[in-house]
Amino acid sequence: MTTAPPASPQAATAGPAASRRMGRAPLVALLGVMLLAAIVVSLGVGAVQISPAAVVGIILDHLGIDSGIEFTARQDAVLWSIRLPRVMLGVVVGAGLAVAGAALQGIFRNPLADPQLIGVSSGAALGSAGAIALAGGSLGLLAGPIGGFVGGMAAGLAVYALARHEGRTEVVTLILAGIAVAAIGGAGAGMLSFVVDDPAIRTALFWSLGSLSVATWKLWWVTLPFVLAGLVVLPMFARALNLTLLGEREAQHLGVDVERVRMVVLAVAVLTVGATVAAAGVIGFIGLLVPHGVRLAAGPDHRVVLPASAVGGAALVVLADLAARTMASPIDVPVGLLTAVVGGPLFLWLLRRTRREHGGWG
Amino acid sequence: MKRLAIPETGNLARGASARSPRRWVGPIAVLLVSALIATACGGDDAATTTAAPTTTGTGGGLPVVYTGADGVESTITDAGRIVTLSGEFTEIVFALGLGGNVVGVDLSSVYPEEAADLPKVGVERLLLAEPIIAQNPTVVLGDVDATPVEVIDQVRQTGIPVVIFPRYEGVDAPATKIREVARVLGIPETGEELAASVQEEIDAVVAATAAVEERPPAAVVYLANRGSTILMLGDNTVMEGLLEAAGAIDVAPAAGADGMMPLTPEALAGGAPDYIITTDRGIDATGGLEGFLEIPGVGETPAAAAGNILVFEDLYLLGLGPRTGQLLRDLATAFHPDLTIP
Repeated sequence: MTTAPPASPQAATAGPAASRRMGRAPLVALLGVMLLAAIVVSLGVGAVQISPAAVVGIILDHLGIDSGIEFTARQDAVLWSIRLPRVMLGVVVGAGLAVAGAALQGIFRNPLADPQLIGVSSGAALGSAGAIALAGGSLGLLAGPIGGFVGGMAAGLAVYALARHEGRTEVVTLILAGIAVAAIGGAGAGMLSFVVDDPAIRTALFWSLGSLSVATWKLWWVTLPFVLAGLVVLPMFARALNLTLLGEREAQHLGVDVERVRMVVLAVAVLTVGATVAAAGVIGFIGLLVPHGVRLAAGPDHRVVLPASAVGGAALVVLADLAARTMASPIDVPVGLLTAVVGGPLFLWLLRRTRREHGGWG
Repeated sequence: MKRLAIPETGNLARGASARSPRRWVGPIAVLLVSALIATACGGDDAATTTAAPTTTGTGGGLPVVYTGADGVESTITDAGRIVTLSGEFTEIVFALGLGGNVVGVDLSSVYPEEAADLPKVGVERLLLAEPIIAQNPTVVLGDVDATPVEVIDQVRQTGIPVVIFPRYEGVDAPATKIREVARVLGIPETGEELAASVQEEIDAVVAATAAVEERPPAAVVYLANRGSTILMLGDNTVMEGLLEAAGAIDVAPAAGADGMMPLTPEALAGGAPDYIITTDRGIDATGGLEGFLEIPGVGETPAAAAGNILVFEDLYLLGLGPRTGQLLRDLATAFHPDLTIP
């Protein structure tokens, strides 16, 4: 992990900072409590009044438990068909983006490798929009995540190929190539929504800044397996990613097939990102903000970073979306605007820090 | 109206300025038709005043089953609480005399003034389900720009019928739209009356301009994104056929404009319109008429040289509503000052 001083990860974990670092269990538990709180608050807030008791009553009712708490049919419909799927989609999207971001930073050994910044998200947006336009009729809702995977993978491989130089990945070239690929993908998706007169393609604004307003249970079920793949598979590579931090050659000597790990992790991360983009558009900086927050608290060990990022990402997106749908009500503020407001400055700070560690870009 | 093609930021700007409508007061002596409208809408023979008094919850014509442009069949049993998702429908519902039943409007509903004070439920294309549902409507009226479609579905899931009208274009559109809205609200007779009187006004202008020989070239220009995007509205937009009906030649087809696609400055200048017609919100966004004339392409037209910039309120110009007859009359009078329209 390049956020650790270039010396060695052992030094980083055994250093004086180690005593202040949180272990995996307490950190995940803390983030889990935050996530739960975010979900509870989100379910209780909206233009339609639903009391906390009624929220509980409605959920129990759908689980087949009669709680005796009174609520109206309309409150039931609003909570169960609108608010809950939206919040749950936020959980899935946030968890997916954050875990994918952490994994991408690991394989590229680059602290700036956010899915959006390296062009994967925009590639996925173009792939999604294209697939919906071409195959939305035959594939239905699956067209989005499948197209997202194809587009995101094309973008990811292109950026990777461009950034590889003499057996290593250049930090700056990765970002510069990402900018170019993101521009192409974003423009393509925007162009499609511009010329194809079909609301299923969604708007250029949706693709560029994201929104959870289109959440339905159906969309949630379609998105879930792709994100679960990331949540299950990516942590399985935690040890390999840790060893890769030592350096590619060192990892190779320790028995890690670096190239294979890189390709599998890239594919799974892109699969995850592609599905989140198909469901909610490009919500930027989640994959940057959350893993870095986790590393600050618990150090660079991927066995902690990956699961903790997933939980933290879910909490962050649920909270950001709560703000998005309430701050300017009745307008749905694109949630990506809010994540960028926080993420942008963090990116600048990381840029400065990374530059210092590398002794300038040269 | 092919508003789908407007870049989204234009819509945001539209929403924002709708909340605090400002009237532009310019220093240059130009024919500012807005003032003219203000008096015309005071309402002597205006269509807006011909409708039935008001507000019974359910008209005699309910329930109505309406299959919308999205293919979804809605059953409307009660028009007692109406939410409108576009200013054009707000205007029509008020003109039909059911303004008292409107409980929520979108941000583009700036006319009539009473509508502007109603609770706001959202803005087209960035709709949220809950603010609409929170008004407890018995029927929601929108057109195909009322999106995301998932939000419309969410509202329907709570049992509220959402009527999605198609886009209507051309000089017959106002009457058609009025009839359809009235039918959905269970007051077809009132709709027929209003539609007939609006059509009569339109026909009067069309008849008067039919014999006109010298037709000035004119262009309807819509500014999006604070003037950085110029749209020329011709065929396949709400303005289709309106300039011709008012006795002008629409330069849009010759300039290559189709639908709501953005235009290059050269295309506008090359069309050489003698008149440019635009909206006050667009003028506001460019910082007044001076700013408007500085937009590349605008300043190079004969219209700019002669000071023939006609500025209308957005909904009046683009709403294709009950005031379309007056709009055509305004335009015809501007193009042909000597023309008598009965």
